[in-house]
Amino acid sequence: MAERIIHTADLSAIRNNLRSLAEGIEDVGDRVNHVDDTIKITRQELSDLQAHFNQFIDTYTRATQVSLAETRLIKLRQELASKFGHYDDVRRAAVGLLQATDISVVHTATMRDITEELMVLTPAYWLAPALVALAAWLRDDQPLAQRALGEALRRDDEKTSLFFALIARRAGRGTACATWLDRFLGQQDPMQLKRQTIVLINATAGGVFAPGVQQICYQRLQAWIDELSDRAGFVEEQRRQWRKALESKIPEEQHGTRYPHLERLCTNWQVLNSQLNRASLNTVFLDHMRDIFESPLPSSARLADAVDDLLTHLTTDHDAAELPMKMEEARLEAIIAQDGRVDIAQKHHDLERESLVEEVSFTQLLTNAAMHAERFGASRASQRLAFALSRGWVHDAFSDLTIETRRNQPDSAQLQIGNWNGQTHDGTEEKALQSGLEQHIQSECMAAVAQIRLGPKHVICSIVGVLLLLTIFMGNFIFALIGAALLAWVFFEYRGLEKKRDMVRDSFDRRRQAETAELGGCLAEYVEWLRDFDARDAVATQTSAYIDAIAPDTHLALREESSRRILTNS
Amino acid sequence: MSVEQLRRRRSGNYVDAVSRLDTGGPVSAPDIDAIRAAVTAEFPDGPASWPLGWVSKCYLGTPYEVHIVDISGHIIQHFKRGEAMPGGMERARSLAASGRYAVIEVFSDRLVAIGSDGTTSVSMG
Repeated sequence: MAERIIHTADLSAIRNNLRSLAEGIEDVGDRVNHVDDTIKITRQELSDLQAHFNQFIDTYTRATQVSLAETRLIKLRQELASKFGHYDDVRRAAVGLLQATDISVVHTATMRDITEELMVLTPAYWLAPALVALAAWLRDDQPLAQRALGEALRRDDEKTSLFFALIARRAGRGTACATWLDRFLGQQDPMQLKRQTIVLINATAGGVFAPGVQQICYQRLQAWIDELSDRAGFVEEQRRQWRKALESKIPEEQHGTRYPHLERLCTNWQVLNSQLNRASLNTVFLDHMRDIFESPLPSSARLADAVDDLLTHLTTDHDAAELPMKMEEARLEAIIAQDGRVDIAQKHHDLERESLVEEVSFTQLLTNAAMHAERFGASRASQRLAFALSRGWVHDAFSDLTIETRRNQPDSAQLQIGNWNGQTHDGTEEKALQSGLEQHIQSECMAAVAQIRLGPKHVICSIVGVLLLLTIFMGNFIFALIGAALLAWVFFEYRGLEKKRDMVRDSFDRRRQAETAELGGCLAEYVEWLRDFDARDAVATQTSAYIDAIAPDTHLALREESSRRILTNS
Repeated sequence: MSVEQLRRRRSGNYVDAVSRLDTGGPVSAPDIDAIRAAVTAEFPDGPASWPLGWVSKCYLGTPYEVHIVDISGHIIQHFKRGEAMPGGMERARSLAASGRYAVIEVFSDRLVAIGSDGTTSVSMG
């Protein structure tokens, strides 16, 4: 009987079947891998196709935009020529007249004829009578000059005043220049100044005008500040404005390379990083002011050129009536220049337009000049003037920003090493933190070791093994053998437990060493960070003292210097 | 009290009076009176315009961190690190503990930090 059972339990057939099944599975696996590869290739091809398609759409859209812009530009220019073409004639004549006067090569009678003809051909344009007045002035025809001037002022008082102020400056007529400039400045609303007014402020501060003219301009600037100061909430607004300007100078550095442990393991690292940047403002701003006040003033020759540029702009700039069309023309040109990239063109155009059209208050102009001179075209002399006029507000804004930084200072660094959390206030709690970390790792290690024990499968196998072993008494040697094998397996598993526990202990020991080293690194870096912050923060006293020292003296020195330079030149 | 009034520079007498309180022991009645007199001179509009309290760095040493002065209750109290301060005084803790200012005036809606030279810095909230 037992022999028959052994015969029927012959496993070779099963083994063969299992082998063929395994081969079948392997074959299916290969096919699946092949399908997977095919899908990857297909996806890649699809992605390439999509990229090509997107590129095609982009090229097509840009080509359409360029073609559309070109068509519109042609139409717009035709319209401009028909509506305002004669304005261009006047502008060309103005520039020509100025150049001709400079080198005295045109007879005054020719000038008279041309300007009078332009006057007839361009009704309502301020520059035409202004040119008639200029030509009359050049040939000493006072009655005509006065009549033409009256008409020019009636058409556009502001532009005419500035035009003659600049002409008088060119001709070295100080008194006339002062009168015209005062008339021009008197018409300005200190709440709504054009950005190009900075050129006049540069000229005033930099000593381009004669001392008398400079004094008149300076008095006007003071009057603007007095007028603005009378407005409710003005001073608070100035502090806010300066604070915003100071905030724009806060660096955006990443200090992670100096503090790699904190960057990786400190959960409030972003705050610590930002605090260093905020405290750096003290040095940044101090250097900024030193650069303004301690480096020599550039020659006023360049400023004189800038004032001449203003004159050229004034004569060539477009009038309010044609400005919208000129703006549209510039936008279409930008689209063509950007090869149909409408969004980039719009951005460029908006920036340019903003700088030309946006109106700002006088004090905003001062803030912009002092803090972002390059962007707003302010000279160093203007920066000094701006600081001198705004010293009180700068001081308040700076001290408020400093207090804000100090108030935001976190009282601790929050550490997260592995799944352990801790905090340090000043980096001196190393012993307590290390012991906390070690205890945490120890308790985790104990829990992990406790998990290494015989499980339910071992118990079941033991019971089944014992039961099968007992069948030996019934003569079932095979079952008894299987039972013995099961018991042997459980025994070897039991003997392997201690080895596994040792391995777990070793791994936790390595973790303990690594994490305590990281904790040590964090604490050392935090102490360094605190020193670093304190050093940067301490500069605030120096910066504050520097602002206080600007005082009115700086401004007086500026004027003295300007006067001295003018005297030296003359 | 207007913002501009709050921003004006404090007198040396006032700064001395409210910042010299690190005696550690009880403050004598004449000292309290001197503080009150200095505060009254500095804020002539009456107690309604006074700060709710003054907080400054404590130089008694560890574990003391800051102390507060409450004129109305004649209280001068020293606080250890981690020990909560009453009312809205906690807002001024980090500033006072930094030691960068002589004293911090605590108002209901803002803090005014007074430098040793009497200059003021304002922080809202």
